[in-house]
Amino acid sequence: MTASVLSLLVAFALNAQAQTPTPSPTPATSPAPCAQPVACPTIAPSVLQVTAVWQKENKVTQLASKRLYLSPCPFNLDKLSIPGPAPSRRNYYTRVKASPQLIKWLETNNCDTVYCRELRREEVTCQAGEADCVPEFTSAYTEALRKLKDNADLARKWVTNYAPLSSQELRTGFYTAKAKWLDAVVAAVEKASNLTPGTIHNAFTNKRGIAYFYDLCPGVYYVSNLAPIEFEGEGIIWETTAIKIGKPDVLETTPVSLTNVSPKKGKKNTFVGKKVATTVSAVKAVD
Amino acid sequence: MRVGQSESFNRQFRQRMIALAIFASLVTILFLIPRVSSTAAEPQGRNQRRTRPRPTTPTQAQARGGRNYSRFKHEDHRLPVAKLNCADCHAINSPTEPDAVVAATKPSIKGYPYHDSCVQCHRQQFFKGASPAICNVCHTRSSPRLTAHDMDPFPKQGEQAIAREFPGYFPHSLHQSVIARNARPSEDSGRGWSFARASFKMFDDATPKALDNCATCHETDQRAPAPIKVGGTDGTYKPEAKGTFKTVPAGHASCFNCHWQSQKPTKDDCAGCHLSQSEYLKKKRAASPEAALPGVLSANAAQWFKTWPAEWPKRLSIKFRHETPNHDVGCTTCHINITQMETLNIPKADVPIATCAPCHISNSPVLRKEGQTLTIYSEMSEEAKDKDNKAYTCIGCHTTLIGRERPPCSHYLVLGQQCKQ
Repeated sequence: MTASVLSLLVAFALNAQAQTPTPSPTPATSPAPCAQPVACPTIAPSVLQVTAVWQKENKVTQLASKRLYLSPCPFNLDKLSIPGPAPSRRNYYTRVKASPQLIKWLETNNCDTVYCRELRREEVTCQAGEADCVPEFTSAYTEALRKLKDNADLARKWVTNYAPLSSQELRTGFYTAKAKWLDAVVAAVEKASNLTPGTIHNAFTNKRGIAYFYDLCPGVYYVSNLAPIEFEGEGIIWETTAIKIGKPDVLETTPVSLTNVSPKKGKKNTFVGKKVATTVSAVKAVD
Repeated sequence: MRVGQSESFNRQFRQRMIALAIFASLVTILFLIPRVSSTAAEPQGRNQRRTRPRPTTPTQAQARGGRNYSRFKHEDHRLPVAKLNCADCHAINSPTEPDAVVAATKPSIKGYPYHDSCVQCHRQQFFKGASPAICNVCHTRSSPRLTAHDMDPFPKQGEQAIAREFPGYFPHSLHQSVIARNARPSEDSGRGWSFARASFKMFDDATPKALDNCATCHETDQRAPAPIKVGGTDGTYKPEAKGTFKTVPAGHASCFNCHWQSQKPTKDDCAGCHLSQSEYLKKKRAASPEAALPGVLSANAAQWFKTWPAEWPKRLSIKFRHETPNHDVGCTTCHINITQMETLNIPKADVPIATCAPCHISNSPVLRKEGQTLTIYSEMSEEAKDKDNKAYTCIGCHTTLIGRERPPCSHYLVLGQQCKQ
């Protein structure tokens, strides 16, 4: 009993400092307006190469498929009035009553949605009670088999079309919630910095964890991921300081590193992210 | 007596003739009525001999001031013009045959909708004369004696071809995000899975290839290289080896994995992906205001692609081979606009030279053969010296026909110069 109470307290304490950026309890003070980038040709010669990695015990993981944002003004996330915390994967799926096995599957595979990869045969034919057997997968597969006249291969490939996986909340709810939140934050940042809507660009990291921002004019830029990147049960958020881009003689790429550990001294354009807790207690999440 | 008999005979003869005439008229009427109705409702299966009716040409129809009912326009049969849905006429019923479009009201008929879908509104046109022009919409000719063998190929080719009438709409950005696999999974999980249509070997999760969502739909083209006509001339270029191109999904199967019945647009919502030209342009403009509209190519590019075989992808830098060693860097590293674009016909899907430049500007050659070692910088430096654009031809990435043209503005950036054009 005591342990439960303690764990709940810890969970609530974590929740209090989780979900960066934290919504301001009081009206936010607007950051100083930042000047629009100077006019330059549509096609400009500079490229920003941003690499996002996660280091843990000498193991470096390149963070693939992450959306990064580029602004000519500081993001000042902690000073912004943001519409609530960023949706977290675990919280969302717990709230929509996904099974713990499904949440574990999403986390293990680092997927935001059930669409992220085709299921293997053993994942849809496993028996309830087996370790890691996801009940949503097996139920949907059984339903698919029934509707598709026992065509096992088709049923496995089309499994997301059948209940319970066919429910909107399980299919794309998390993606939709996150996209909505990100859109709101981008709009808030642009408004606070007095930027024309659409000034903030975004890019997706490739499988080597690298995102490129092209056609940049000389000036100062800032990079952030806005919503915490969830990896191995932890969340991390980057908000860089100014990255300078000069006027190059030939096409030039400026490398930028986003990491979770402090770099060697003197390493230029390397930024350490801020760790945030991404999970709250199930009780709180369901409420 | 003889006279009396003659009068009686004449009266009887007249009566019989009148009766015969009435009977003949009735027979004629009874014979004709079902024939006329059958031309509309059941063109198949009637074998009676009949004189061949003269077809009504579109010009004749228009000259008479009426609509040309021999040509069908989807635009006129969908919102906002008509309150009809695609599913009122078409259906896809079999999961095992995702590309088999059947008549919504008679699933046994593959291809065009059945008569009753049309006759609800076009009864008048169906029963107009012995050769209703409306027959020509689906049939090879206008005749009441049509059978299932007299069908045009489905879908209709030419100007009504699906690709032209319904440009495909595919939001790459949305799909990239939804199916994104965020990071390499831990090593003890998920061994041996692969994407649905990927032609690669079974992925080992330790390889970065497993994270390439694009491979779900775009496989490596394994066809043997063949000469491709380039430049609207008889000149051809034959890629060096397999793996130059990637494939594109050829049918509904790629979509129905997820869009069969739950995730919209589903199989019954054809218009979810097959947009009309006007809707397509609207979406395209909204997605990218600066983007070139579909079909709008520079005069030279239009010429280059004029005789390009439909079975090979159109490419300006045709010498690039996707399977080149050390180029397994992830599709979006070079196709940088993909994740931001909404439409299938992506004007900015081309690979900007800026994506090649980080490696190929001066260190790693784009071409190292035929006695030459060429980098983008070396080619552009020579090109920049060629004031009248006559002496130098870029051959590192392009065929000579394309390489002898003045490069686009983006290429001058490699030299830190702005466009001269």
